[in-house]
Amino acid sequence: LLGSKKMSEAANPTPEQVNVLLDLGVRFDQIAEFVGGRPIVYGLLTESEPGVAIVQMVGSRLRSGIVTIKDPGGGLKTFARFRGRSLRVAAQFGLTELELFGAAITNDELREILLRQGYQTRTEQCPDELGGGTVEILTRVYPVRR
Amino acid sequence: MSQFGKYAEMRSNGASPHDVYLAAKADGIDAIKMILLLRQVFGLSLADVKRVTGVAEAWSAKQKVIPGAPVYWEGWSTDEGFYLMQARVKNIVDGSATLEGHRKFQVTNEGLVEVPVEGPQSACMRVDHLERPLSLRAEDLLRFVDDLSHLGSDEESERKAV
Repeated sequence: LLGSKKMSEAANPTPEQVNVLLDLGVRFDQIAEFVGGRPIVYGLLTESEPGVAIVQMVGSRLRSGIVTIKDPGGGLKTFARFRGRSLRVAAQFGLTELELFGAAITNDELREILLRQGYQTRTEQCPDELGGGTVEILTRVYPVRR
Repeated sequence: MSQFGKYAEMRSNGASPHDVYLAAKADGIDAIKMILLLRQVFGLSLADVKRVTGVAEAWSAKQKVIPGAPVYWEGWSTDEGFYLMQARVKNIVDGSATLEGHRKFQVTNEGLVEVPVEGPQSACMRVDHLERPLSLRAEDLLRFVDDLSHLGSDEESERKAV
């Protein structure tokens, strides 16, 4: 019943929910698919050229990942802003967990840093908008505080 | 494949994935379409696309420190925790960059929060310090995010995140 209620609420997102998704970078025409649980590929705002990110709502978890980011100077600011906006999406939708991940990480130094910080490798389906198939991600779940 | 016919023809004529990437970028192809294009035209994996487009190297690249450019660095204090700084390079003399237009952002459980820049700031910083790549700067932020995730909501502020 609780699950049904959440689905019903999510089917008609509130203005606040719409706003946090738009802030994250999701386009207005993608919001219905997001609330339906589909993975959404969107342009990631960075401090230099736009990147690519994915967001998906699965049960009580928001899955939010970076696919590409090319931002040598402002990369940490971009990541911190991405994390914060992901947290706000999770909170607005009443979710209790935020899963942050990076997809197809090719930089060995970044891979080592993430592994040291408790991120784990997993193989996932790659969205069709990005060519489909499978992709390795490095992922970690954080609690969402409200 | 038809939507990328022009680029498939380039491949047929011997263009490399990087050649096609540069041509598509000049044509205004966005980052999402670029991934699809390179994967469909050349059959690349997502990881290969990141190598072709230079994304993989960005984490090890030096931050550009040139007059007029924004620069970013990190700091820490016991009362503020981890924070990010941003400024603009005014000029560079003898390996030191003069900075102006400082902005400060705290990393909190509400997200990235811009806070007033108070007190003396780094008007001058060594270029080689600013040039440190993300690979040398990222771990402190991730460690701080881990610490934050263990804090209760009573630690949080009501400031507006950016």
